[in-house]
Parts: sequence; structure tokens; C-alpha cells
Amino acid sequence: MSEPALRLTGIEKRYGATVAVAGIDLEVRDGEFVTLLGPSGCGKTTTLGLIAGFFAPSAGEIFLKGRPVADLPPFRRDIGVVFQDYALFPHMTAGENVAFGLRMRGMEKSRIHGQVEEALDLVQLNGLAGRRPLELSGGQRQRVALARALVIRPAVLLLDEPLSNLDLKLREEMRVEIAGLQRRLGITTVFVTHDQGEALVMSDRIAVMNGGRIEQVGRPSEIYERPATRFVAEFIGRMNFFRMDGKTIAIRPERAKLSRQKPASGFVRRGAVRTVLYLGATLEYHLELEGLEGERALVEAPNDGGVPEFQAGQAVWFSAPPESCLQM
Amino acid sequence: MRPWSALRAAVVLVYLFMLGPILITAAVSFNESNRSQFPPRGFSLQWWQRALAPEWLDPLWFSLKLGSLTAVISTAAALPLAFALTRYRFKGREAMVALTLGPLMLPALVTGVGLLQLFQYAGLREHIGFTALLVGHVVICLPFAVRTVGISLHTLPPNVELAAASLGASRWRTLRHVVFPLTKSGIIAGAVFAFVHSFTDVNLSLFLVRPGEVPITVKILGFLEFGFAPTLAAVSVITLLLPLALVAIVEKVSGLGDFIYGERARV
Repeated sequence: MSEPALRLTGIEKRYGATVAVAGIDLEVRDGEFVTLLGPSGCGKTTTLGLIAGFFAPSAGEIFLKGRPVADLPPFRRDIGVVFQDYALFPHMTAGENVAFGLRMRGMEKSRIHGQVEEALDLVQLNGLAGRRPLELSGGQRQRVALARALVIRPAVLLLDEPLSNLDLKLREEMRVEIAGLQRRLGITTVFVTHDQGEALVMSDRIAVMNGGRIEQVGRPSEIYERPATRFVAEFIGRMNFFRMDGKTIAIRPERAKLSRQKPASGFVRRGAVRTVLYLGATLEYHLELEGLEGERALVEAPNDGGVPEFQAGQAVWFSAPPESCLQM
Repeated sequence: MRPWSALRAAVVLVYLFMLGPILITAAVSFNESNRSQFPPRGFSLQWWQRALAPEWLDPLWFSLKLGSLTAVISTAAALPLAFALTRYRFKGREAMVALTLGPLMLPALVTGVGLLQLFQYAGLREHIGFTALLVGHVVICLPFAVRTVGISLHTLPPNVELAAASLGASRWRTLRHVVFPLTKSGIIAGAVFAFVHSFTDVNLSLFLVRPGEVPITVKILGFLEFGFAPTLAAVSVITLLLPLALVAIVEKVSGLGDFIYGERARV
């Protein structure tokens, strides 16, 4: 087996008594897109900073293409970083921003020009090389930042919540575009986000982080279909939890069904509809279940355009097929 | 009265208050007789002619030299100081801040007396004059330079230095290609403030002069003991216009207003 593009072994970062990263092991294969996903304060951005070399780990080692780099400053690591605020150089034009990394590598001027053009083409900014960051829109700045990080062909591309400052429409466009670009260039990428939608759409694999640790690593479908911990189950998508015989059963709201008649098999509970939420594409039924005090459930049903099948106050059966019931 | 006209009146009054004495001084310098009258009687340039004699031009030139050198030295010292104070948390940082900015709070008079005694007791009596003045001026001008350079370091967009490092720039090249160009106007502003402060100082300079090494402000003060002549009015106007011209030029070239009124635009 060949050496992975990036390997973290036992990475820790402590600030005095505070533990930001509490021991992380992760391998990222050549050309792979791996997302560090988690709530704010989970250590994902710190982990990215450690890979970039912005600060040194308290313990552990980082290997870039097999080379230990934990003691190297960022400018000797061969990485590309896109920052949340883009961090463009305001005194340079878009073209000069992109050229910066090549200049620092001592490339001749004539070659730099061609590479900058190419990189700006790649992010569809041809013709804007002469603009300063202040004269560009948020989306355009983002593209410049991306081109600047890509043009140096880094061993690993690090993206720190690069989409969070864009408006919704643009954000969804850029998800697809960045992921497409990454596949096309085959560039090994570590992406940091708190947005599960971004993570699911863009990643080859997702590492869900919580409290400075990785809770689960897997393909997006694995993470969603077979969450390893309650935290993962709750953080990605939504989940109903039921206690049964000392165990916890987890059911996704869109896999559960409501019916008037009692279903013959599967997980079945009796309850009453408390509220019906109209969400456009879907309807959301909030139920109060019988039996255990205050047990609640959520069912997400596609909106077929008719009158909602069940009304608030109505008694219903909540059910899910056995294959949709996860034991946690 | 509507609020806007009240505001306008207040602004006019403030400017009148600030500029009035200067305008009167300028007017007096054109008097025909040797009496400092206002409004001036007649019109003559004879006092200006006297003001442009070596008696006045020498101390003026001395002040220019002293101010320029003070500006260069305090700015050069302010760069690493401001960098350390804004970037790093270290033991003794508070003490360093207090020591650097302290002279701002202290009457320059006291600093002057202190320096005079220091030079005497240390056996450096023969250095009283230009050298002592230079040391004193650097001490009182340093806070201005440190403040302005510090402000420009603060307004540096976050992460640009990390971005440069990630793109392969060493510490030195990051300073040269990113930090310095982005703080240049702050550094220039710091130098200008230092120069102006040195050029206009009289409190400290009073104690550290020697014959032939006298800044223009001390010279003016000395001359005042013999009464206010129109010559003095002309000299005062020249002394006033020099730093003003400098500020105007720098303002035109790199913009000082940002450092006086607020932060620069960020990306």
C-alpha cells in the first residue's frame, strides 16, 4: 500500500488546561476529499491549522506524502489554504494575489504569467486579473482565493469554511463547483465545515468531530445511514430516539410512516398528532406518543399537493420497517 | 434655531477659536511700523526680510535637522516595538507599554530637567546641545510613532500573514511583501507625527540647548523676552507653515486622516 497523501497520528493540541484537539488519527488518500465536520469548538479548525503549520501540535505527528512535517513552518510544507475570510492581499490585484505563491517559489516571470491566467480561467475569473480585492464581489474574492491556493499545486489543499460568507444561492453553486474542480484536478483536499449539507454533497469521506475527537469517519452515506454514535446521528440529519428494553432505537423522520390502521410488523407506536408543519416540499408531523411520559416523535412526509392526510389532535400509528431501525 | 444651523455655528466658532490667533499673527507681520498692531497699519515686507536672515534661518535649519533625525530614529525604533507589543503576550509587556507610552503622560519639562541632570552627572556635559536634544526628542516622540505603527498593524486584515506563509513566504518575505506594504502609510504617518512633535517642542528643548545649537521654538521664546516684534510674527508664520506643508504633502501622498480619524478600509 502506498503512503497516504496526509496522515495524522495521535495529534493533540492543548492551550494550558484547555484541550482543543484531543488525539486524532486520520489518513487522507491521494486525491481524496475529506471533510472535518462538527459544531463550533469541536477542534476542526484547530486541526486544519495544525496541518497547515500555523501552530505546532502538543503531541503527535503529521505526515505529508510520508514526510514528517510537524516541526516545519507553514512555508516549508507545500500546502494551499483557502481561509474563511479569504485573506486576500488587499494591496495586490487578483492576478498578483494568484502569482504570489509562484513568486515565492522563484518561478520566472514569463512562466508565472501563463500559470496565473490558467488558474484564473479555472475559477472562471478570466479578465479580472487587474482588479483589486476591494473591487470584487464576495463570490469573486472566493474564487481568487481558490485560484491562489490551487496555482501552486500543493500536496494538500486546505479549505477553512470557505463558503460560509456567501449567500445561500451562491453557496450551493460553489459546493458543486469546488467539488467538481477538486475531482478534475485530483487534488488531495481537507475541508472544514459545520454545514452537514456541504459535507454530504462534497466529500469522499467525512470525519465527524466532537470535543476535540473524531467520532466517526466514513463515506457520506455510511455516516448518514449508520451513525456510530448518538452525537453523529443527531448532528447529521435529524433522528428520533426511543428507549426500548434498556436499548436505544434510532429512526430517521423520513423513514417513519403514519397510518390509521395498526401496521402488522416493524417498530410500532401509538400516538397523537400535535402539530403539522408545512415546509413546501415536505410536511412535518410532530407526535406525542402514548405510554412513556412525554415521548415525542417526528415524521417527515413528502408533500403530494393534497390536503395533509393527518390533522393536529388526530390519533395515529407511528411505524418504521425493521431495516430503518438503528440500535445505538 | 434648527439643529443643523446650531451645529454649523458651533463648528464656525471652533475654527475661529483655533485659527483666529494664527490669522492675527500673520496679519501683524505685515505692519509698516515697528509696533505689533492689529489690524495692521500700512503694508510692508521689511519684517519678513529680517525673518529670513541667518539669525532666524539657522535655528530653523537646526530644528529641521533635529526633527528629521528624530523622526527617522523613533520610527525605526517604533517598528519592532509596535510589532512586539501588538503581536505577542509576554512577561513584562505591560511594563514595556507603560515605558514606551509614559512620556506621553509626563510633562516634557520634567523629562528635560531629568535629561539635563543625567548628562551632567554622567560626565556628558559637552554633549548637551544637539545630541542631548536628539535623545530627548526621540524619548518624547517615540510614543507617537509606536501608536500609529501599532494602529496600522492592528488594522492589518486577519490571516494575510498566515496566507502568505501558506503560499511559501518566509517570515522575512511576509514582512517585506505583505506586512510592510499594508502598514506603510502608518509608518509614514508615525514619522510625520514624530517630526511635527519634535519641531514644535519647546518644553524639553529649553533645558538642553547650548549656544549655536538652538531650535527655532527656543529661539522664539528667548526673543519674546524683549517684547513682541513684527519680526517674530513673520518667524512664527514660517515656523507654523513648515510642518503644515509637510503634513499637507504626506496627506496628499499617503493619507494621514485615516490615522487621526479612524480605521482604514478592510477587505
